[in-house]
Amino acid sequence: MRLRKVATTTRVLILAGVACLIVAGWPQKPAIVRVHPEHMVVEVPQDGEHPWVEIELAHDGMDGYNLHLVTGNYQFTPENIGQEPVWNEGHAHLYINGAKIGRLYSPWQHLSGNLFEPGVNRIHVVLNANDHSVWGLGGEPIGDDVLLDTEAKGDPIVVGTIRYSLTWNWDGVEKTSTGWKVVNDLGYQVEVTSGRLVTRNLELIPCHYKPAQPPQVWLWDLLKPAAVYAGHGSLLPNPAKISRSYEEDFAKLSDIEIESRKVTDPEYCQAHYLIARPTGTGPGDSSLELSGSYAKDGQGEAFTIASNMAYGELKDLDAAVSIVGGIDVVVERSVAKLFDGVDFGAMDERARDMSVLRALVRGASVKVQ
Amino acid sequence: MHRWLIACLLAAPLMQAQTPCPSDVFLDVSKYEGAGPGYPKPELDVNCEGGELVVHSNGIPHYEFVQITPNPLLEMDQSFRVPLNPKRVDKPIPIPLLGSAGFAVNGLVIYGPNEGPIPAEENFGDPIYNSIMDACMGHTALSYHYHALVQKCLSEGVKDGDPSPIIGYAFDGFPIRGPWGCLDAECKDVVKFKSGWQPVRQPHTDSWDAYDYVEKDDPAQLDICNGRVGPDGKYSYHITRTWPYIMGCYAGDPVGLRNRQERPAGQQVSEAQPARPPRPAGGGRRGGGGPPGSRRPGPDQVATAAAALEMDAGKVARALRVDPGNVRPVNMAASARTLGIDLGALREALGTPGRGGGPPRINQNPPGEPECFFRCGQSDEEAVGCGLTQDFKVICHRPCDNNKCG
Repeated sequence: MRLRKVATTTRVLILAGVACLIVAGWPQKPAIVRVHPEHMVVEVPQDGEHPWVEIELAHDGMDGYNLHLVTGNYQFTPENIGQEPVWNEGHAHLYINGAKIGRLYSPWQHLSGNLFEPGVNRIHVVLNANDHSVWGLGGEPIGDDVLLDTEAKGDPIVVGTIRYSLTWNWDGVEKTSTGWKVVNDLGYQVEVTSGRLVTRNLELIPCHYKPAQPPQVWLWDLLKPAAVYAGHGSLLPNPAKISRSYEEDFAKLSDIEIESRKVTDPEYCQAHYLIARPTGTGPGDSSLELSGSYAKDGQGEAFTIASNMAYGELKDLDAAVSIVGGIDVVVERSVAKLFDGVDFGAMDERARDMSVLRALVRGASVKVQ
Repeated sequence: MHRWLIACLLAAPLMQAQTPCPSDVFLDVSKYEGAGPGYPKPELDVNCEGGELVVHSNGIPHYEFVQITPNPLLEMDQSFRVPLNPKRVDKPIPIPLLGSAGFAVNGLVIYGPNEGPIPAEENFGDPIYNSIMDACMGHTALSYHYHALVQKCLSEGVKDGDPSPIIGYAFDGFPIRGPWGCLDAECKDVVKFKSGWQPVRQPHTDSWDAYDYVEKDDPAQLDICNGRVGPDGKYSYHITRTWPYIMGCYAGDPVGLRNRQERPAGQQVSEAQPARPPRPAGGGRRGGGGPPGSRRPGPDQVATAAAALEMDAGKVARALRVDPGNVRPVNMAASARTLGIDLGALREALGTPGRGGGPPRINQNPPGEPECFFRCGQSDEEAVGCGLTQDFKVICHRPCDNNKCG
């Protein structure tokens, strides 16, 4: 009986501990992820001339592939191994399908065919200092990550296509001959007759390299939700980014396919959506314009929104999405929720404009297939 | 009499050391809500020691964070040290082309008035003009930073038309104030200061080349560094609505550039692994190493480059922005565009083509491989058969065959 009581108490304590671990370990936002736990990430100077590396692969005439690391601001210095780190020199570490293959002491390396599984394989390279620390920029390891298709006849690096679309959700909205009507969460009946919206940026953000699961897995590792391994070095181009601004007419909203991009990053974990003034325009131009009228309790008035403010959000995807087979990205905005939180009678113009921008961007969902 | 004189002489250094610590101009960031749910609370610690203002910050804004760029908001471990008694230098010193140039009174870093090379279609453009800033003129890229400042975001209860408070410090130690200031000692005449930099073309790209400083006899116009000596005899920068928004150059020695530490929070730094790894001997980075002042090509380098390029030395110096009186930071890519030559050719002519101060790197092809098998669109201007265009696109010098430099 006594033993049973102890067991119950223990169970309660364990449950309480588990609850604490879940609460404590639950990441509200993607945290900085330590992707190479065996080596410390050391920052390079953040002034633009940081090292970078890109993977090139070509079929070898006899067997396997020739790997070429195209680097910038970086020198391979195997003669200095074990010495103090110097920010633009060192070597590289090579991983294939999550397993560390070894160090690379020069930009060229032959990779035997027996290193690869038939089909798609993942190749990851990270730049390391003379003391094997991982070079990092803004907390992110400096490296490159591609997929290799052993079935490919030409360039073995897998190139995927990302197709972007902008759509609208019309649930709860009444269309009129001149535009549309909606009732917001504060009871205002809003009619929109004209306006425009500029999508300034839309891009999927590549995931970090995710290391192989360590052999020792702790209980709290299992309790944590799946981490999102995403990040973006702002000083490196992201080929997944749309190339120009897109303008939509608020009176005639329709779904549009905007752009396709060719990419080699293996998978994507986040999406960035930004409303802002169009590229190449002056500060007087607008990111959002809306005209119409609002009414509540029998009182009504015309309104005009003309904002040059920008508003964006980095949205986590439900799961990492692979480029194999291509990715369809649909950004769905809710028309019904556009004016939620807008108190026309009480808000000043700036607060009202920001509220609409915020509702538009935060209410947008990014769906990937 | 002599005793008083000796006492005064002895006390003078002490009085200098007791310059009031301006910690009260900094915001108490703990009383603000911060960046939003899920982000760490902003942290700021300010003190003075050894004649320096010392600032530690975690790089988190004290106001709602809006994700303008796709880079996450990182908690940083930032510390800055600037002199409490800054001195002006004879010739203004360029601010860095990239990276931090000062800090605001909330502990967040201030960059110069140009963006980096990304996005390529707006390389080194004016980020305010290009609309990639939030309402407080900040955005994320590595750390959250400002390219312009908004007084309302960094002060409380200051009305338009009142003399502006200090809202930041440049790395030379001179304060950065809001746009308003006194013209006379009694402060009867308060004006909104104006930048003297005038637009000469669209600042979409290479914004330093899109504005020229024009001297005017106008007490409201600021000097080339966007600052002025106030009625109290002290120098301050003032923020302006137009370029360069905060600073056009340093009026003092930017010792804070050499004393700063910026790294993502939580990264351990051991004695063997300094926060900022040592640079290669001789400062052999592309375009030269060391602080901005020392990275500017000297007259001998310019003369050698001009001879190698068979161009007028004055033209090369102007393109490199090292002609007399030019305070713009060096931007090799922009200079190469101005001269109408390849970036690699300019670097080679200047004798700074490779790394580590050594000879230029040549990509050797592996035995048995075709002469060049780089994919078109590859971004290495040094790749055999490939070159970097003026708009940072990579091209094949030779015909492109099957997506390779043929």
